[in-house]
Amino acid sequence: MFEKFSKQIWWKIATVILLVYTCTYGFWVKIPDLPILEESIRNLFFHVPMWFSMMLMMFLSLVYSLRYLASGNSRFDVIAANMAIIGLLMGGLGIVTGMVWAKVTWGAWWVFAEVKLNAAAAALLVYMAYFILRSSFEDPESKAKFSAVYSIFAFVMFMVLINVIPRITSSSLHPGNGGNPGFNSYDLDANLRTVFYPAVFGWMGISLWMSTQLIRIDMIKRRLNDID
Amino acid sequence: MNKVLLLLSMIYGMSSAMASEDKVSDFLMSQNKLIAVNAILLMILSGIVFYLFTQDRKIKNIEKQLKD
Repeated sequence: MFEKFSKQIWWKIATVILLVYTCTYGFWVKIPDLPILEESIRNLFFHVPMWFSMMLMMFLSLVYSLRYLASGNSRFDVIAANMAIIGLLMGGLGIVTGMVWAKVTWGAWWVFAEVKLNAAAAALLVYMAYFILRSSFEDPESKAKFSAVYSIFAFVMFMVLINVIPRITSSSLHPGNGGNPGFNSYDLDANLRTVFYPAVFGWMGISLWMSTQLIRIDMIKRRLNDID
Repeated sequence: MNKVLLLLSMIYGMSSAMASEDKVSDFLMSQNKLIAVNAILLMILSGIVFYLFTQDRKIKNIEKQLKD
């Protein structure tokens, strides 16, 4: 099913339309009058979707890891690993775009007291360990098995680090975290929403698109090596 | 090769058209010149999309060759 989907074109065209819309109207949509944030609120259409994309890719990676464990079909392992590569890429972009945004609003590239930054960095390390684990096996079957099991742990850690810890701590600069209600004030702004939701789907689409290319190349490699 | 030449001539044609037309440069100068950033972002995005579609076509060709 996934292989058929990755060859279809309709969702790629939809992705392009959503991204062109995001990258144009995102500049010109009327924004609410927010102190400190000012025009930088437009980063909502670029920085936040990076994390949504990472979450989607890591979730799909988990799903395919589980499918591998259930079936033993190593094609699922190839899909899971390549999804995680793009997920990690989006997470890295989320960190660097967040650093620029932090510089103009919080006054520093990195705020060490801010839980969410450290948690996000730790989450990226958890997934880097996934690739180190993968590279340390020679036998393809044990590589696939161990990394599939680890990826369950990695996803749980990722969710706890990104979505749970920042919300239960008493202080966080991020809106919506640590009792900071800021997110609601602009999340509910209808104008921002008209760009934010298309932006999330657009960036998710381009992440998926990139991962399908990596997966298709790996599938070709398997064919050349007579695995399939 | 021909495609590259065509692309280059298109870019050249576009840039010279932009330079000669005052309306376009007026448009780029409006809104505190933010439109210029917007235009550049769209160019970069179209470059990335162009790359992704080319890559898709290449992969498709190899997949076809492997099937035969």
